[in-house]
Amino acid sequence: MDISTFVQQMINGISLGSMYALIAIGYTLVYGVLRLINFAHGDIMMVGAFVAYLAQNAGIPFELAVILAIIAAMVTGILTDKIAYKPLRNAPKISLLITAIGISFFLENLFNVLFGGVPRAFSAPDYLTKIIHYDGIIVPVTVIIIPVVTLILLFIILWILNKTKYGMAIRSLAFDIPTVKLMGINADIIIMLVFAIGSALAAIGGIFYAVSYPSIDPLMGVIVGLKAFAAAVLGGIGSVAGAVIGGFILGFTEIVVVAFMPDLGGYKDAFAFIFLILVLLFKPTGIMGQDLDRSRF
Amino acid sequence: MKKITTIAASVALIASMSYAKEVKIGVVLPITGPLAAFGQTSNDGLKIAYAQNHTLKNGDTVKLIVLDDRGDKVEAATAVKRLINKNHVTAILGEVASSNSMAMAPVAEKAKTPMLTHASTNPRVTKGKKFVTRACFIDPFQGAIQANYAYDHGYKTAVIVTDAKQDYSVGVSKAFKKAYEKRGGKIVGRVIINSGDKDFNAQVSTIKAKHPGIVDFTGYYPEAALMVRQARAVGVKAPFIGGDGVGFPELIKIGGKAAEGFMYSDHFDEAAATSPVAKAYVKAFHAKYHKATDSMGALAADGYGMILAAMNKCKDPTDKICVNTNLRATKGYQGVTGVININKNGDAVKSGVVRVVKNGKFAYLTTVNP
Amino acid sequence: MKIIKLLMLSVAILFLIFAQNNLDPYTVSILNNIAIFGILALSYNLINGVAGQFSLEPNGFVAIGAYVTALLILPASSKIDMFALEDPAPIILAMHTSFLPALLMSGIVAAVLAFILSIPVFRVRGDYLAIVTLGFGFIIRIFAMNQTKYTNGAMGLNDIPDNANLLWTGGIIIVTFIVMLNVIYSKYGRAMKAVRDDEDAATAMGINTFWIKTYAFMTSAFFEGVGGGLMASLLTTISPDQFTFLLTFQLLIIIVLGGLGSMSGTLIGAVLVMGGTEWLRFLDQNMDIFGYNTGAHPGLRMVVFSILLIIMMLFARRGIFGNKELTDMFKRGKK
Repeated sequence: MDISTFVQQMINGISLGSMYALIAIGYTLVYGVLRLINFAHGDIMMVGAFVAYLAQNAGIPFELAVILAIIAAMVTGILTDKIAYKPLRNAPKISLLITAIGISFFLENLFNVLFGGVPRAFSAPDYLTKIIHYDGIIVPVTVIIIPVVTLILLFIILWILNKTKYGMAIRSLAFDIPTVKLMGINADIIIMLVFAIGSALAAIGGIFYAVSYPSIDPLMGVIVGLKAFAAAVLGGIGSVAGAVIGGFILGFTEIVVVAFMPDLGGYKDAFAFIFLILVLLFKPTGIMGQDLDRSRF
Repeated sequence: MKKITTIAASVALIASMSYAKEVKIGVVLPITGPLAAFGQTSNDGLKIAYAQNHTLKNGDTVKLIVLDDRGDKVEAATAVKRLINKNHVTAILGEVASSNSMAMAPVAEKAKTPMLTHASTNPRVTKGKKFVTRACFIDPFQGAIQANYAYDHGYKTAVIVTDAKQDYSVGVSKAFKKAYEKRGGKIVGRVIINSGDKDFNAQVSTIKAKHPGIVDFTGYYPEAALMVRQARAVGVKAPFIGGDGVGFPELIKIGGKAAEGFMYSDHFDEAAATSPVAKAYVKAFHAKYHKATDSMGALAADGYGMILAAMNKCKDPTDKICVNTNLRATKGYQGVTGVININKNGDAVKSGVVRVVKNGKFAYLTTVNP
Repeated sequence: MKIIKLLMLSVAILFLIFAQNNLDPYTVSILNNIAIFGILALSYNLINGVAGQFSLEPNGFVAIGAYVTALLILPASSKIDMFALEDPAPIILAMHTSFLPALLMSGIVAAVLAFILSIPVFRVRGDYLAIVTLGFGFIIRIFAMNQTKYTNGAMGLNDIPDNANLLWTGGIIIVTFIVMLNVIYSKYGRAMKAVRDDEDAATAMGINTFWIKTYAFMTSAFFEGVGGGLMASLLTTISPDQFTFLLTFQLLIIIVLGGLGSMSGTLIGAVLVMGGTEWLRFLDQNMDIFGYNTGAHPGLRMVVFSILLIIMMLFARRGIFGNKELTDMFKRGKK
């Protein structure tokens, strides 16, 4: 293949990787603090995309719709924790997992009932759908904007985690919840914050996804969510930077491998997991992870 | 005088009611799920036809039991079992996707219940079956429409895009290839997609590299829309032509400007509908829904009409064998989508149309006769 | 004790014969469904509930079982006809046996695969185990979708001979139940429970935890494969889409509802969940009479189902039987 196509595919890979990264951060934050695989996280991405779609349909301008979507996602995330996860804080893990799956199914089917399974067309403002032609390479503007925004958000999150006291609270919660409570910190509020941040990022990821692939449906979060989750584990669950790295690796591999070996195209959904399993075999804690499994049940 | 008339009228009414039976038709459609657009539009057309007529010649009323199979073939087969065994329907109408109809057919066949699919075009749905009929043309015909149209308009090389998950797409791809190569056209490439995918980067790059004159997209509209968008974004200039699976408004909504010029073979177009039956349907459709008509609704209406016609020819409209025999023997049925003749395989021999996306709307190009 | 068991067994068999011949096909198909999901859930309970290894993989083994049986009982002529994207590989055309050997093959192939997979899978624990098994289930399905020469890809297989009836499904679920009970009460079963309760302590006691886990995994896989084969013959049509995470999820609900680790509970769970899914179907349709109704809200059934599941997790986590068996109740002499 020629150089321009090659570069094009590289850029596409980075763009897809960013979307996985944004959603992966949410998974890793929640897992780090609660040791819970929040299966419903992918569906929160879907909620974000749908709310943005509905808001725009109601005539609200795009930027405002995005903010509304973020708020809606945050509310959904926080509510999910309050209603379904909090009562089970001390229950065996399998109960939590099943509940998470239950919430995921609930969201998917609720949106199915409300909006039907027909894919809807997502409209994005012109400045996001422009296509730049440069030297034989055709680049949709999103492919540049998405990774940049992702990196900015990543730095913001890292700053919050490392330089603010809330961030410190989150990091200590990841170590041991009862001790943190003894120190007088309201663990519940911090947990709420974790869900809020994760859900907000998922919403943004969802909107980016909807802009790149302008057809949304209630099940859009399922596969993307699973892959983002694989990315989070790949990068080391509990590590935000790891989640982003995992996301980029995954997105990149997906696009580039299929570009170079189109016959493998049908397997692309399996890459995430094949990758993941290989990494787990050799470095069970992921690329940047610490061994969290021992510290708390 | 008034009293006697009233009594007489009531007696007559009660008498007729006690003799009038309910004849049930089971309908299996994908009202939700990935094929929801097809199921819902079919249902819309069916409702119009039902409103126009739901009484048989002998006074019996027709009742429709509609089950949603969520586009899943196992659900479809289960739904048919339910309809036959629990609801005691006389006939089955459905489904849309050939994959699902093929799962339903053996069940209907085993229970000796007539099944009419209004929209499944893969030949294997009726193959070897005695109790399955269809109201639409089959894929060899559809593939030939696309191939001939493409070749006749100067597109001598083509890339075929096949959706590996759908029997429908595989069938049309085969038919197109056969007809196209027969005319002298050259297939320069084949690309595989899976319904449900959103990213077709690899595929459109392959298409670009092959420089075809035309792209034959044999899948469904969600993927068609995204693919044509991505194709145009990387600079593929060749026009797209497809089958009846792409002809939905979402093609234009999601595809945007990229969808302009997308051609496809279809069963029905208002502009070509000149018969009284068709005109009445179109008028009622517009009055109720305020939107453009489509093939699925028209075909569902015809399927329903054919079943009713077959029932009317039977002494006992709940006699499944009689209804089936009449269905398979349908000749010269004046339907919304044209004149329908069922051949010995249970397939309909009728005309098709070619439509195109023009200025953000579907426009009529031409009619193709068998 | 033994007499009661024999009595229960004879009643069950008589019921099966009666049902197969006398009840209407729709009810029979529901019973068949319950039986098959019962078989799958019982085997799933062994690895999850008894051995405590949180595996999310059953959909993979069920898929393998279904395909193996289907390919074995389909006649070669059907295969040639059916394989649309690519012609079937010669071995696919050649393989053909009758029903029982086919089912056994399904189980064996699944068990062998479980053995191979146990090497990577049991290197990790807890959540990571769940993720890895989820991944394998996923990968198996993707392979089924893409190896068109062997599986006809995403279109699946149709017109599978329907040898499965209540005698088969009912018979096999009885066999499965008895086998599972025997495993639980054997020394292997006790070792599995020890691993479940505290793996490190079990190792300290001299139990070879890797082999115990693998043994559970393989046994589970065997019956999941057989169940898959039954499913293929019952439905007469299979496609990779049927073997998604949703299937695993349904099995998970069944075993949790019945009580993790309790086989009797699983049986009850299967009846409740499969029967419940059918019963709740009325929620999906309000469109019985055209135009005279509020309109259907398809999908409502699954919404209600998910809510019920969440409520159950919040308030009745241990399931119906906890981790006891029906026979335990007889032993203690309690209620």
